[in-house]
Amino acid sequence: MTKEDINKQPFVTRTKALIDELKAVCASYGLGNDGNEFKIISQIFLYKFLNDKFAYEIKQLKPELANNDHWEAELANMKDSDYNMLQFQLGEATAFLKPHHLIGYLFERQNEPDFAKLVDDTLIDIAVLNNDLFAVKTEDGQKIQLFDRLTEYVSSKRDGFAVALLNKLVIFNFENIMGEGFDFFSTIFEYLIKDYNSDAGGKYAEYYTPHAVSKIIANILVPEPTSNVTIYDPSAGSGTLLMNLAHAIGADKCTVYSQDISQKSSNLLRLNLVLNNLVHSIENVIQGNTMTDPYHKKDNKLRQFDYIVSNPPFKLDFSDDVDTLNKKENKTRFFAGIPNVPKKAKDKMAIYTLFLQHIIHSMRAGTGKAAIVVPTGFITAQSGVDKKIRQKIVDGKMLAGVVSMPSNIFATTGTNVSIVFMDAANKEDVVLIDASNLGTTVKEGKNQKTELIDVEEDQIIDTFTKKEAKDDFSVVVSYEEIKAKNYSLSAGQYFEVKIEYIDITAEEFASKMDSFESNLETLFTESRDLENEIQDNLKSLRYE
Amino acid sequence: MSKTIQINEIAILNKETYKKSEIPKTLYYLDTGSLTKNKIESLQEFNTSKDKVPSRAQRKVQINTILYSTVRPNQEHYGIIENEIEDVAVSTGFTTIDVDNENVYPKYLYYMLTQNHLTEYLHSIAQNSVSSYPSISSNDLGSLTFDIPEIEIQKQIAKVLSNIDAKIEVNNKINQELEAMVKTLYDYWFVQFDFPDANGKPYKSSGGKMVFNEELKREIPEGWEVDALSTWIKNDKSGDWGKAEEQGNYINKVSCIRGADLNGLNGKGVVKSPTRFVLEKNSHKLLEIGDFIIEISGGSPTQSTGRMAFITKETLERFENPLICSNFCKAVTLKDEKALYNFAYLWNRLYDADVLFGWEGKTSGIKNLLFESFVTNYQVANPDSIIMEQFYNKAKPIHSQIQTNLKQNQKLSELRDWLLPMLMNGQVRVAHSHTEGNLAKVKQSYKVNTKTDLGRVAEEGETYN
Repeated sequence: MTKEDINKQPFVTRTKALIDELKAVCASYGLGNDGNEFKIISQIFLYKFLNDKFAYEIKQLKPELANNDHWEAELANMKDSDYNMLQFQLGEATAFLKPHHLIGYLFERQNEPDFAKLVDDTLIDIAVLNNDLFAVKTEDGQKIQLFDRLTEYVSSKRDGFAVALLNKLVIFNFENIMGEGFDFFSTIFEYLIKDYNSDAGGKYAEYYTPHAVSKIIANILVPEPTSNVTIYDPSAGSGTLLMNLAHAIGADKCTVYSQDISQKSSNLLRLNLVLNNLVHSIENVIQGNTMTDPYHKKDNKLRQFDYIVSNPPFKLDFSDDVDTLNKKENKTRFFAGIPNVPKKAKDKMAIYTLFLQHIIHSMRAGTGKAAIVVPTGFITAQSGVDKKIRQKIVDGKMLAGVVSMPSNIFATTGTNVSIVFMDAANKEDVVLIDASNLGTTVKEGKNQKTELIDVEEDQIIDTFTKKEAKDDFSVVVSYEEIKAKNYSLSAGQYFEVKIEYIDITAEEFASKMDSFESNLETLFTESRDLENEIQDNLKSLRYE
Repeated sequence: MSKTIQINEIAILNKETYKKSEIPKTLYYLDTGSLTKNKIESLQEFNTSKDKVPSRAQRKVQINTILYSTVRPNQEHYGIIENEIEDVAVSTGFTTIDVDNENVYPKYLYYMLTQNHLTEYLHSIAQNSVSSYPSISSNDLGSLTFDIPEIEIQKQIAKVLSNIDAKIEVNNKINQELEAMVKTLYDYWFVQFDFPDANGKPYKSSGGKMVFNEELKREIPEGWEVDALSTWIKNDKSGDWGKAEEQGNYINKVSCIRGADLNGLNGKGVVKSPTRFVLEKNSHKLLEIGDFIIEISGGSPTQSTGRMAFITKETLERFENPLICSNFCKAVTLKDEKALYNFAYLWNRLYDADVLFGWEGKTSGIKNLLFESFVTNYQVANPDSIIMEQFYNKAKPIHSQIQTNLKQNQKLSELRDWLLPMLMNGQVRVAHSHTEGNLAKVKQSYKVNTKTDLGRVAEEGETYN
């Protein structure tokens, strides 16, 4: 462990401990496995984070408060006009809190009657005060506030519940973690949502995109520094891919745009953005159906982005939307067509093809880059929507390459996945990588999961970035070669077949044949002897 | 005089396991799946200083140790150690049985334990076990009791049965040699291009003209054309799974070849093709001589789709019913019947080189071979038709012999399975047993019953000459 790791370790452990304790409080008030538990945990955690971040920033501004145990009281004594000035001095990534919003203030009042109401009112007050920056919009312009009235999710003993939560929040001070980086916050975020991000999540199963996938995508898309760019995910989920990409570019050098149909993921994504210093992008987080109502537009056309990442749902029942999708105004966007609705299993509709088509139209013309996770079947399908999309990508020369991942890279699904990298600027050769033989199988719960180690991830990233051909691993092919192979993007079909064979001389051939002959002669003799014995044996058998 | 024995009393169960200090540098591990009916499919090799050895690799064996898998007895993972083997650890999934009583002949006990009705009995115990999969305990084996005859009789009975097993084994070895011989010839002629030229000399070595082919990126004999593999193929037949019972128009009784049966068809393992009933109008799907069966769905991360077997006259004779392939396979008929063996060896060469892994559509779990794409895209050098015919003429009788041996093995194992229980319960005796050689009591000679089987054994022996 490096010194840095040792310093970090207690924070990770203590932050996780806080999360565990908050969950324990919910459980003891009967909210275990309740759908609302995640709202309470994520919002109360966010409140704690915003509170401590505010404290941290204020103390940066007014160093005289830093060593004052009663800094909150000191703040409360400030003149209103002076206090309001602070708002303009604080960075926009920090929520602005009034003295009576602070945890310390609430903690003092925990024995007052109607304490639960006080906590709820306070949270709503914070939400209203910071609505401009922190609200997530829905596709029709409604704003989803930062906080709900949390204690109302428990049916009785609300005051006791509020007191229990508050008492957990005061134990550990987050101010020390504000200097931590992306790795720390992604670890914490993942820990925070792990119980609420399973495929038991209902219709929109928000799979957490595995580290290997997000790391490979971020590193291949952004091989060198860039700045002032827009990044977009039309099916953002909790935002793992976006956060990794934003981190690779630099949080202050990019603006994040997203849309996702699930309200839960939009809330998680907001939390993720707050933790990762991307508050300025919250206004671009939209909750809504990207396929029927794409929100991000400019001049009445789909907005175009510099970088797009997406791990879309592969199969989902979108049968009710087929009519909307088939409308005239969607004809260009869905150039390859709408996937069939399987009669017997509507939920097996291959809607990732819609996302792919949407992404192709959302890439900045001439320069846009994108990475999409697709089922590996997509890269070889011989007909239908899949094939038409591949034709468009290849004929339109907008492909950078494809990485086929090992099976079970997602613990929750056995579907094999590939990552398609598009690059509107790439008119040269394309890299196809077959990484399906990499990785080690581990057990995660009941499921088999394949994990890649750092070296393997780097091998994929380097090979891709340097456009290298390696035996049985990668090929570099031209658009013409791909066309000739029926638009197949499967690396294996381009591998040169090398079968080990060493020529033998006529003498060697003759002697090999001789040895077959003599071996056979021995065996034939043995065989005849056995036959005789068997016959003798059989003759000697008597039935009683 | 027969007497009653209990296994616990005459043998030591799970006698020895490896102690930490004894583990050899190179350890060979036999797991339960790799031993079926006394045939070891493979031993895994571990370098114990480097590799992680499976935790189940523990039990020691010696000559005459009987191994019996305690999981799912109906899968018949059992055997007996007959040759000296060193540094072998067998899975703790096996119960090891070491006879330590001079009145019990281990091989006889082995046959005793492997009777069908006993397997079924043990399997029914397994199905009532409390573990998550059907298994028996060592004690279930240990508490079995049998009536056994004197040791001399045990030896005679074991000999009758093990001679049959040995003959099956010899047939398998003969097949391996024959197969390797044709493969050597194929490689010599069509891979290194030393087929007999006009003067009967090896073509390339004797200076036959070679031209570089751009598409294949290698030299091929002058005059050979390069074209897609699909140009060899006349048509294909899809598979059919039909119904388990005869019903409605499903009246064609067939044996259905599944992917899992293909190795067995080629003599590596068992063929358990189920009997099915297919529609009469699907008769055109029935397999004919010269057809190839190719597995198009299935495989695993380590095994590609595309396993293959081909149909000869002798293959058809191994079955009572006409053959059809299942939906997960596809049958292919060639334009030129003489191309049969060239296609077969070419295909297997590509399969063995893992080429087909690149031509699979992978969605979830099961993989599909992109057969059409593969054969229309894959370029091969078409051999001169005269050479191809010469190869056909050489390979054909050898493959007939291979299939004949497989059919004989089928008959031999039927014979053994039929005799086994009767020998064990004393219904059938070995007559020159001097202890109870009361020949007057013989009611019927066994030979009469099995005249056809026996005759076949004798007859087919002739063809070796």
